[in-house]
Amino acid sequence: MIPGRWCTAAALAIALAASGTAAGQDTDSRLPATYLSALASYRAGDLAAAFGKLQELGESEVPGITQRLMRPDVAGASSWPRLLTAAILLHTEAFLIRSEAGPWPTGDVYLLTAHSLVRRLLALAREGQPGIGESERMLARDWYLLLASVQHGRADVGRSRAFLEEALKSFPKDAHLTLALGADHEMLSDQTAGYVNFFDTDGRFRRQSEVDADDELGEAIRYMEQAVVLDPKQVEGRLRLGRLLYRRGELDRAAQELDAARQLTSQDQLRYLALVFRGMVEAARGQYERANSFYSDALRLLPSGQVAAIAKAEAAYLRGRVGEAAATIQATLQQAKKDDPWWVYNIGEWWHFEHRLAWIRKYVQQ
Amino acid sequence: MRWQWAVVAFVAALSSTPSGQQFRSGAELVSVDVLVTDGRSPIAGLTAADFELTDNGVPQTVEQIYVEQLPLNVVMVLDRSGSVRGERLRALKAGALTVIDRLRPRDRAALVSFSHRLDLGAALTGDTATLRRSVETLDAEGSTALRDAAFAALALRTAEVTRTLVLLFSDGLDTASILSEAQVLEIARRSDAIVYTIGIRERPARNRPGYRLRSDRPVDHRFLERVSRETGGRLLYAEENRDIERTFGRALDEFNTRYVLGYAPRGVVGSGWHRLEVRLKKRSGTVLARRGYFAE
Repeated sequence: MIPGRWCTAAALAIALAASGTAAGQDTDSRLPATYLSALASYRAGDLAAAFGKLQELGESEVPGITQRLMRPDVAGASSWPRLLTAAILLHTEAFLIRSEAGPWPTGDVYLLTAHSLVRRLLALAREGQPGIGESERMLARDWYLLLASVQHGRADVGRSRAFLEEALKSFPKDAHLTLALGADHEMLSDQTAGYVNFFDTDGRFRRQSEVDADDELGEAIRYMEQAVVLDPKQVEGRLRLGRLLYRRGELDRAAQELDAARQLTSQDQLRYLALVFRGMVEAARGQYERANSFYSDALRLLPSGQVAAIAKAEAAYLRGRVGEAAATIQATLQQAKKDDPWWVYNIGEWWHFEHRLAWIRKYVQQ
Repeated sequence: MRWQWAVVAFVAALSSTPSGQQFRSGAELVSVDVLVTDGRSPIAGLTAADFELTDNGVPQTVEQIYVEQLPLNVVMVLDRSGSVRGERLRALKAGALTVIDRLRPRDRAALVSFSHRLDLGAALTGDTATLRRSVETLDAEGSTALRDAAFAALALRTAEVTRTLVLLFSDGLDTASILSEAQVLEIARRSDAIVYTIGIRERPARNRPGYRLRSDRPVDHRFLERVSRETGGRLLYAEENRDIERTFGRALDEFNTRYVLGYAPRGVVGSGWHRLEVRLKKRSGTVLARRGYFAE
């Protein structure tokens, strides 16, 4: 086994691309027993065993295995789709484990091969390959969304954007991907300075760009508007669109979207955020009493909500109620801390990570 | 008119000071906290007669001047996001402890720490043991709600009559605040606290993922610079981690060299924003003061 990242992203990409045209030339399409055992363990839900076997195999084997997985003769026609999807998830989770502890592992063989397999899956779906239908396409879409969740969780818009843009080419009318790309732009629209290093989906550095918050805000709004048109009942899209419009000073439209979001959901976290943002719209209008009313409603939903208390204190301060502002701030800063939904909302797609991972695990393990 | 009231109340606080200087009882008085330097070092020994002050363009008479006599509230606002983990956190704690050690008998301090969440480690107190404990237990994790923390510190002011120094340290960009820069700057303009901010210069960081700071200039602390400027304070830089402790001490030392000018506004009426200009009359020097005050 060769430790570390033995091949560069470019070399692997070339190798994988070549595999498409070389199909049939390699007569040995069998997969190593250890790898098949890792897949079986993964499907059975025994993740520790699966990753143990993968490690035993060694990552230098992974590109060759991936080449074989892409060929139709790797398995029977009926089992090939399941083999592909299980491999995608196994490689992806191996990558997640490795990326968790440190910096983003550029050129990671597990991510590169998972991505190649996803693209192969989508190509097969387009070609009408038996056994690869809408649910496999949705798995591929959710793979992109899962990856974006991880990248956003690491504030790594420089990597997520290329994946999301690629995904949208395959799913141009998908509300979730459209929202995710909007959230991607939204993350940068909050930045007041700095630059972003952009990478392509193979992990190659492409460019360094200074953050243009206004441009990012405009793009975020454009994608959120599209997402809401694609799925008018999508609460998060309306919530994000409402806040983005507020930030651009379009207060009436912002209020409409936020009111719609509140009416569409019974989830406390989303309602809390909609109320906080709605209060900020009123504060921007100079209607501090109305703003205070929204913030109070938000705090009734989540009494430990810190950002609602901060916004409430700001409204009090601007009304000249300095003592009330001080008391509100002191109380919230001394309160036992529970998670405020804002802290996760503010990290793009990150708040979907857990359930996305659970969903695609369930798909493979069913 | 909160500003005027606050200064009137200085009378009681100062009545026992050695200088014996007092504001006239019942007068509406405005205080302006100024730093005067020769470009590098503070200039000491100035009197009221050395200053020229205008309120909305109308010349005013500086009637009182104080240096160091007023008790001080120091609100320390410390970034404890993931980026300060390790050596930087140790240096930051040392800096905060330096400030605590230098508090005078009538001074008090508070500790607000922040990552994406804000915590009040210690409410305003003169109990240095409590303050030290709150500093020593700090740990680092999470993202950075810099603007929210700055607002919290400004909003935490008490009705007591003291000078308030907000001492704000951060080493990064805001990634988690609910409040915008404009919102916090508006509060800063309305506050009578003086904000000193401490940033740290980063070495260039190229080809790393995510948000990164510009590599061709010091860490972008535009917000730190603006919020301090609005209040008449300053942004000070620590060149590296081991310089953080010294920079905290430097901020406090500099603050203690500032003058508090008191005047009874004449020829200006009405609530709202009052633009202030402060200059030296007959000698050269740089005067740093807030740009104005908001009368309610």
